[in-house]
Amino acid sequence: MVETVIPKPIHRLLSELTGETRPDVALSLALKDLVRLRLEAAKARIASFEEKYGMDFSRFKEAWEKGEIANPYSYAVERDYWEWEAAVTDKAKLEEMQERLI
Amino acid sequence: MTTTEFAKEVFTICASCPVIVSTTITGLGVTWIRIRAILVDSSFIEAFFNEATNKTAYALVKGNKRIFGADNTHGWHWHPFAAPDTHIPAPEPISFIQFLQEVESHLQANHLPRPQQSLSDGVHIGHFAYRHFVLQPEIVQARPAYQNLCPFLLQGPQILDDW
Repeated sequence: MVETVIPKPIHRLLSELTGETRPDVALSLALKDLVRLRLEAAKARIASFEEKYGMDFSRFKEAWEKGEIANPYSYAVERDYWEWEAAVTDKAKLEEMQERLI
Repeated sequence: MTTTEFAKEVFTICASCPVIVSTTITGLGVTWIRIRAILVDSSFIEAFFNEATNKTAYALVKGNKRIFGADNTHGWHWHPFAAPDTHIPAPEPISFIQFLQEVESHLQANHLPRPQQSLSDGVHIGHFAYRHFVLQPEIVQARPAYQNLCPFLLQGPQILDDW
């Protein structure tokens, strides 16, 4: 257990946000919310790439390797590759975090 | 390497390089980070790192276009100034400082005059249009890579007014 001091304004905000006055419980609730929101953002990002390319990331990666994606070394395509992959790795990590929080 | 370690390395190097005006984090996830370093000619370097896949990418962007780059998507490679949408395989991993060296050489060759030398207090070595630039010479002396990157910093205190 790590002991820490929460400033009063933060404690008030935590209580208002979560409806919970006990700081440890409020913190846990806020953390769950943060993970959920970031997971939603990662999923939305993945969905936007899937819509743009009409496939999921593993298929895109395979197509990129096979030379089936136009201009694979252009900045636009490479950047999409990195950002899409980052959304996928974020989603996996956040889902793992979510399981640990239950 | 973690995203925190990557950020620390990029920020440390950028803080010691006179062609960089400011450095900020422009994107951050739980597994990745994107950092932007604005250069004196208003172009910028984007550095990206994903700790889950070790994907690393550097790009020099000017006018919304990548004019030079390097990344390790399916092996380390350069995107040369002459044809940035092509790639040239690199025999070894490319570090951020190596990338910055190439950028600085390009800037010096194409845009920026060599710095004028004049005395100052030894710590404050000059300023640019946007900010004062302060660097401890011993930091440069302690890191051979920094010496290659900023060789003129070893020549002693100077003011870089005309950069």
